[in-house]
Amino acid sequence: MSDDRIRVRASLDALALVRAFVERQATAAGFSKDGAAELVLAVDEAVSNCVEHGLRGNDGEIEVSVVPQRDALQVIVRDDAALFDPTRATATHQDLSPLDRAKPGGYGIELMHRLVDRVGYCVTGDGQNELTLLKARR
Amino acid sequence: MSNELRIAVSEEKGSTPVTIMYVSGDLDSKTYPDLEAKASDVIAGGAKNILLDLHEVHFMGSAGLRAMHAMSVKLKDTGGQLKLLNPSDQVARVLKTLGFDKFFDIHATRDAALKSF
Repeated sequence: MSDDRIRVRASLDALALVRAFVERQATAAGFSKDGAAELVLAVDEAVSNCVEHGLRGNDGEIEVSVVPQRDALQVIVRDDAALFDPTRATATHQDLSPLDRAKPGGYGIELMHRLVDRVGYCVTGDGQNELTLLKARR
Repeated sequence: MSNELRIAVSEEKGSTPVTIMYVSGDLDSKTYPDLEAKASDVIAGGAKNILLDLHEVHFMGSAGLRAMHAMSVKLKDTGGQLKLLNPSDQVARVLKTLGFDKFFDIHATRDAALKSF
C-alpha cells in the first residue's frame, strides 16, 4: 500500500481512519485548516453513504486515493457497492424551513456537493463505483 | 484519530426547566444513534426543553445534523424546544453549509441560552 491511498473494510468503524488519512494528505498538500476540514467532511460523507446505503452491511472494501494537482487535490473513492451515481441525485432540501420537515435525513450528498469544487462519477472497467472529488487549494 | 462520543446530562431547574446535554468527541454516521438514543431516554423521562452543548464536538458529519433534526421534531411534538450552545467549528461548518444555522436557535453562552427558553 503506497502513501497516497488507503484501503479499508467497508464499515462505519473505518470512517475515522479515512478522515485521518484525508486530513494528513490535505495538510501535506498545503491546504488551510478550514480547507482540509471541508475536504475531510466531503470524503466522510461519500464513504458513509457507500457503507450505509450501497453495501448495506455486506462485506466489501473501499479504497480512497489522492492525486495532487497544481492548485487542487483530487480524492478518488472506489467501492464494490451497488452502482449509484451521486452526481445525479436531486437536491431535496430547498425548503425554506428544513426543521419543519417531518423526516430528517438525506443531507450527506448535498453537503458533499457544497464542500468541494467538482464531483465526478464513473463505473470502472471492473464494475466498481468511482467517485472523484476535486477541491481547489485556496 | 477517532474521538469516542461522550454524552453527559444535567438538569437546570428554574421557572422553565432545561436539560443540558454535553456532547464531546466525534458525531458521525457510526455514533449518531448514541445521541438519538440518549435524547430519546431524556425525552421519555419528561424533558421538554433541551440545550445541546456542542463546543467539544471534534468532528460532525451530516449524520449528526440528522440526529439533531430528529430531536427537534420530537421535542416540537411535545411542545418543547431544542436549542444549541456554542457549536465547535466542525459543527458550525455543517450547520452553515446546509443553511441550518438560520433555523436552529444557537447561543454563544450558557446563561443566554438558558434565559431564552
